[in-house]
Amino acid sequence: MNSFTVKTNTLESVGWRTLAYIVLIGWALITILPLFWMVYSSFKSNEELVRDIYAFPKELFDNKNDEYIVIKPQLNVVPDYDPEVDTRERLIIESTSISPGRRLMVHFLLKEELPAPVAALEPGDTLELNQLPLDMRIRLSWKTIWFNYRSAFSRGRLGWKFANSLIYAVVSTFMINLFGLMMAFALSKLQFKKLSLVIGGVVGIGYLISINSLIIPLFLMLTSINLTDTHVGIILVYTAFGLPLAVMLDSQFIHGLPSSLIESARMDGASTFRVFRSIIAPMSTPVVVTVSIISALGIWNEFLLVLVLASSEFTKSLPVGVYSFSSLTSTQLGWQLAALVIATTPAMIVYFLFQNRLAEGVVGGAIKG
Amino acid sequence: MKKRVRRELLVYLGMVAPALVIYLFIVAYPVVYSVLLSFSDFNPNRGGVWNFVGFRHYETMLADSNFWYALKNNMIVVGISVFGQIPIGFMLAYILFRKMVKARIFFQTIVFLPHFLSTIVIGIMWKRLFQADGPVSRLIQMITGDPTAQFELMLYPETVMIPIGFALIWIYTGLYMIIFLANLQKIDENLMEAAKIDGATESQIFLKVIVPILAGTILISTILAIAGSLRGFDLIFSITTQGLQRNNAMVLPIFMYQTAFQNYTNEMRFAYGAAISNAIVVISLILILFSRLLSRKRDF
Amino acid sequence: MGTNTNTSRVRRNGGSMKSTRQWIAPVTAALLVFLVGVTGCQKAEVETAAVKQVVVKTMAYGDNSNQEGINWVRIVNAFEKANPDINIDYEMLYDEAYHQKVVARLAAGDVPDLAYMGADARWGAPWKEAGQQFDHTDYIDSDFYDFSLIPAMGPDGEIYEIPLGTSNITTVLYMNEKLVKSLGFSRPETYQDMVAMVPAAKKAGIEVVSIDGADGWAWGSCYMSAVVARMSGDPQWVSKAVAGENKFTDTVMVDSLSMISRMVDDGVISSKSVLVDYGGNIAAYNNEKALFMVQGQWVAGSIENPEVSENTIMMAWPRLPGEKPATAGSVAAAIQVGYGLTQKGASDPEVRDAALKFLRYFYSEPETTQRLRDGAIVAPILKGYEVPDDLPTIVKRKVDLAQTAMSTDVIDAFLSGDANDALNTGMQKIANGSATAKEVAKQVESLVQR
Repeated sequence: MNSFTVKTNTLESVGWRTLAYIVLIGWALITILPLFWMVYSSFKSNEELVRDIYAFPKELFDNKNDEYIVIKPQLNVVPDYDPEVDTRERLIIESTSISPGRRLMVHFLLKEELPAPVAALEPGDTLELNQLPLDMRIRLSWKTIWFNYRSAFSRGRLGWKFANSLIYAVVSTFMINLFGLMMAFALSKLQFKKLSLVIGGVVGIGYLISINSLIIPLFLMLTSINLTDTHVGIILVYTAFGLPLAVMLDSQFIHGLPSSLIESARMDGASTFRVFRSIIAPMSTPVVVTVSIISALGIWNEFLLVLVLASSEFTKSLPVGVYSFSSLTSTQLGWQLAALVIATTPAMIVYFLFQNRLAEGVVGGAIKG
Repeated sequence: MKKRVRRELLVYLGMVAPALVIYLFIVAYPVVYSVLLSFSDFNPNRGGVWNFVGFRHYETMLADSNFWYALKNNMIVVGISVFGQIPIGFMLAYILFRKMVKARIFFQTIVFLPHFLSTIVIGIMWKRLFQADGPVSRLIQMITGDPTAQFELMLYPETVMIPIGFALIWIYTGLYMIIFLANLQKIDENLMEAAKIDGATESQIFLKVIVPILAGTILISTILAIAGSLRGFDLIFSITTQGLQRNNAMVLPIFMYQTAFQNYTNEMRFAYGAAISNAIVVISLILILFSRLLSRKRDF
Repeated sequence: MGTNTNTSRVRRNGGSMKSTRQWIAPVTAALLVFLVGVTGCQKAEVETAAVKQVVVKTMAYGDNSNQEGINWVRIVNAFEKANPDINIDYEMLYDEAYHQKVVARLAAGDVPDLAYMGADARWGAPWKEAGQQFDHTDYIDSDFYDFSLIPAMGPDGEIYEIPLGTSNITTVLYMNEKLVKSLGFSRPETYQDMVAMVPAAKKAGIEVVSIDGADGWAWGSCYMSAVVARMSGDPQWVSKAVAGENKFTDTVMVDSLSMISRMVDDGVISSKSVLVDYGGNIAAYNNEKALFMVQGQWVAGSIENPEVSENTIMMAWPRLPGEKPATAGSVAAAIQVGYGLTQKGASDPEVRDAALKFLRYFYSEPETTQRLRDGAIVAPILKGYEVPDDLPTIVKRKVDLAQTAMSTDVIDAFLSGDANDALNTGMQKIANGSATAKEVAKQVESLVQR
């Protein structure tokens, strides 16, 4: 695309190139290594992590000989089935190597599926995983490997929170883009310049305000109109706070679009809205992509607002769910890491997918008609 | 004639209304409340009557040494953003644009990636990296050969902004790099070809051709950087531990948060906090207007 | 002319114009429908509950990966199953997020019916300010709860919350007896005994005393509270200082603060302790990298290594140089936090009764025993409670300590806000060597609001 190449033989350029490589490779290492650690550590049990925090995962995977102890039903043993509906007898076993004694790695095995000697075991007896029938062994083995993720998902109810984060991000971004573009078009290309200046200023100031400072009066206001703890309320707030940046970036972009296009369309009798829909919107793809990425990302990772405005499980989003594994007194660092990976992965996937679009969109926007 | 203008106005308002209504609805009430609160002694927790006390909170604020300390740190952050993130972002964009390295898409992806991580993740990573006998400490021990060496920069107010500045650059430079890259790619090739034909060197082209064209982008990036630096809370909050580290790295938004949310003995903490938030906005405005003025002067 | 521009436009944008136009309208429509549907759904959920439910809006304290939180979820599920007419609508948060949400909810008027609260400067202040503290005395069963074990929380002996357990000891010195013996020492009687352990510990590459110095609050709650009581000989020195009877610039305070530098200089506390956080502290002790650990009684359940927990003695600090005999062997203890109703919750009789019923279940004997077993509390506040024989060793040791040691004030139960922050940060600086005891004392005194 650009035929302008660098002279490769001067000392200066070689010097710059080396520096560039050093900086970029260093940057890459600092970024990739901690993430890599986070991902592989999420497959370690808490015991492993406390022993050696940098070692590669082993225990959860190497579980054929895991030892279990038979326990009797008691207060803090929570069945994963409904005992009143399903009355079949079960053998309750707990791991002796993964969170022993905390009732976190407990399995309820149907006695009818077990070989007789195993089914006859009493509380206090131990058994090894390989003493169980094959399909049970495979099932438990699988459960062991994914222990951290399963726990994070079910205890943090991350599935629904994931959906909420998605809803908030997609809907808010859509509204930010649509309304922001409309306003930017009006402010940069339509008449009433003085009015535009005022509106632009009012909206622009919004970018300087951090959510933190307004959270209490905002909460107060939303409480009085019953919009707290609702999806609509949260989406409105995200949209309102995302508009200033969108309007600023959109305005700058639209300002750079040739007015001649609009003039000629007008002369053909097109309405303003038609002009917006058919000319401005399609041509604004690059800035829409940029604004979308920035907004959606900010909303996906946003924590404070949703912490204060969402009080029930129905409305809480992923960052709150992830935070609920972060306590200092946590006895399961593995769960915390699994929750972090669950929260980070979608953003990463979207990022890698969008990377090409970003480049394309930017390049596409550069070609002037 | 008038009728046509009125119709135009309606269309204009139609385009502007959705965004404006949502924005004013959500932002206007809290902002007005916050401004009024900063001039009163009202405590929303306790309830009661609003008594107006004029500029008292602002006076207290200006006399509070914590405020000035936090402001100083904010200025450092602004400096790091404007004179660190933007130039580095520009350089990196230029390097990628001029194809000086291979695997450009890979590097572009990597530099922008930290922006996509949530502050919770970054906070946890950071604390783990810099804890006692953590990876960074071990690195220092290896380099200096002193087995008891620790990473102590975060413990002293004089040096705490170094690792924080590092973190800020690592996270936010990617954004500016992308913005500059996008705008670099919009530059007409012919201009650069012409300069090359005229015999200009690499750096001459950079300084005399490219930078002036991108002046607008530099300005808008500066404005974004200033605004972001003054209201940024999440990052510094999550990478420092409460107590010494956070006090050392105190910035205005954190100062406001601690005042309003944690200082239970101060009955007027909400009003004082509101005064601080308003001050943050005013300071940002001043800095932005200042930078616009500067850029206009240079256009001569 | 019209057709010309039309076609040229199409050519320019490659036909994308048509496709964009086509999907904008249906997408917007779909989104609006969705939004309305979701909000409507929410309201419908509340109305179509088959049984008429009493809703108790609760703020719970816990984390999904710690015992408190896991137990809370389990308890609520079990209770709701047994009582289908009660819905405990809770929000479970931890640490800073919890306090933040409390402040926000109270300030905005969205007051919960039941919440985790305390009665001191840190845990009780926002509730007190909002006028939401509720006196439970006439509403809880005195045959079930042992009133003599529930301390007075208000000027007239009001009970604002039901503590999880008896006094919460914050300044425990955990000793790994086996490790200490392996170095050739025994339980220290005086501070000098601990100093004597330093060379041997250094040689073995372990710390003498580990403390999570990166957390400002740990210095105040888990360390200084004990030291100041010892040096002053007055178990209520701190509360008196906040009330104005003493000054923080008094010699007693300066000497107590100087104890930090002394311990660091003697090598008893490491100078790098300011870099160790809560998890790191427990990990160090757990991995047998420290002879002693400073923390509150609540971490007893977090010592995973049976080699360590079975051999841990929970003790008070040995005799410190310059301590007054009146407070020898004392520990600082605060009123344990717990769940309590708010004025709002108590104002509706149905909600109040439902909440009290829940509390009855929450504090029931089996649940309390489980809590004790998990090491979260020192001793229960139930009447006629019989301690089971099969408790973990460390829990039994904890009860020993509680029964033998005198309790003194905990600093942050009385001191809060800027003054407390300055004290905690100041202590970190002293440990670091960047401030002196006198400077810190002066700063704290100037910030105390009386």
